[in-house]
Amino acid sequence: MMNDKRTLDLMQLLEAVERGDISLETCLQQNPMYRVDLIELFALTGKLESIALPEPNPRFRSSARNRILTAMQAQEPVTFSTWFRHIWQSAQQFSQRSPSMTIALIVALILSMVGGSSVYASQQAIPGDLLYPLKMQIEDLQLAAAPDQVDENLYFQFAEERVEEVLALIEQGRYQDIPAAMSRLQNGLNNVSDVIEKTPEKGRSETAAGLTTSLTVLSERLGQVPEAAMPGMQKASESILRAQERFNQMQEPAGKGKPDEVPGGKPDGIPAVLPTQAQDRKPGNVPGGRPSTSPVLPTPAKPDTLPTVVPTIVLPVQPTANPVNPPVPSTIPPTEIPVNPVVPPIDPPVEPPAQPTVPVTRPGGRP
Amino acid sequence: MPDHEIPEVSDQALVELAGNGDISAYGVLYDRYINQIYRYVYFRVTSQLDAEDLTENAFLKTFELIKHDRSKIDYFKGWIYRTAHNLVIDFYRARRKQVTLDEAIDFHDPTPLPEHSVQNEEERRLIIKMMDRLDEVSQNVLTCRFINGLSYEETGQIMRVKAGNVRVMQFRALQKLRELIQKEEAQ
Repeated sequence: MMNDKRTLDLMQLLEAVERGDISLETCLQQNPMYRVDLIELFALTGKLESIALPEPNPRFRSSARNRILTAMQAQEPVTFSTWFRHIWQSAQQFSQRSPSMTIALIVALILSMVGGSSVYASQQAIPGDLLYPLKMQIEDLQLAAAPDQVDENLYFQFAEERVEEVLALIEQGRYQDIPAAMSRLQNGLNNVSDVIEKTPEKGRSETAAGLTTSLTVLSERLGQVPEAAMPGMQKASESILRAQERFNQMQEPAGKGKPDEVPGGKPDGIPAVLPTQAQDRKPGNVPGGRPSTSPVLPTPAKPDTLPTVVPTIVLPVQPTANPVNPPVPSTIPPTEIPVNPVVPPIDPPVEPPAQPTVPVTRPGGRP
Repeated sequence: MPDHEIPEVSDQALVELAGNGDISAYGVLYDRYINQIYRYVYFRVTSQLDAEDLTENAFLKTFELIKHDRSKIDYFKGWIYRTAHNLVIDFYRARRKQVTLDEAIDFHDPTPLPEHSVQNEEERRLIIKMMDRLDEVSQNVLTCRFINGLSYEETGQIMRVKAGNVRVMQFRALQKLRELIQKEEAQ
């Protein structure tokens, strides 16, 4: 206790003198019991303060300064550029260790960064657009990646897409791009023909009907393009019709009448108002139509004004008492032709029994 | 750069500038504290080469912190001393203090000392020798307070204790040092 008080007193006196609150002489006079201690302690602190340690060597001081500031320059504050540089350096090291993995990662990165928006935008591209080649590449990738069964459907889908592209070009007046688009359409139709030829047993009535209808619409629209605006339009139109004919012949079941064999008259299968969208042209969406599983009507003959080879339009029109409408004079515009002048009351369409689906199993996949 | 030419900009403002990539700002801080830090380190390791290495490392490490999280540095002077202090501790952990203070001064210090009398030189050597026998805390508090002239608050920041505790530690360190000197002189 005594020692603690002595320590406390000495501390306070040392601090008071150090702060200048009291002089050393006064302190010694006022505290004679601590005189010896105070003298020795102040002498010691004086000696400690007077120890003159050497200054740093000027050469070291200068060289260290340069080294530190140089190191700072090499280690700039973390900004976006330095962050990107670190990423880049890491990527370089990684690429040296695993080149193949690096390529895969780069492709994945590009697809994820650019692909998202560009791929989506390319789907709306038509011939002559900047992104149209990308659209073609994507279709090729789809074909390469899809199984054979899906491939066949893709050919139909792509052919219909080519038709849509030509229609869009006509609508936009970009006639100079139509020849190239027609060439691609021709290739697409050839692919469809090949598919049907190779696998005729597979039912594609709905898909085929949609494509056939699209081609009919295209034929009409091509007819509206002035020959002066697009030289060779007539030739292109004929080319489409020839493809249609070949396509229809392949599509017709064995023993069914060919188009030429059907009695004349305007084809009543053409809808009164031609839809402009491929989706609307699907049989199930035709007003008054029936589900795609409805029986296919006999192919009517073309009117005299149309080319001699007329495509078979497979449209699910509600059957009437007279399956084949009487011939309509060619002077009457198609839009005025009632599709079903007399439609007797009918029962609601009965859904056909669903065909048993065969589960397709893949190794490691779901059925 | 001489001290009187250092622009009167606060340490904290210079830290902000350095953190934003202004290298010259850190140069000013370096010029402002190089002597103090060198002295502080030198008195603890007593080797010119070691003191130079540790001093340089203290400035480099502090800059690393400025670069990554300068919000931690609210008081640069305390931080640079603290960094130097930690480096000294690491230094002794690695070296286990193989060389004593007076041996280091005798054999490793080529720097000429300022003018002093023979008596002062003997006293100086004795004090340094006894300081070397003190514990780590006592050495540190005496170095900060009397060699480097830091306040109680600054010393407390470096040692991570309150200023009141620094007063107590300082008094005890002085008492220990006095006893050691008295014993040495008595022999």
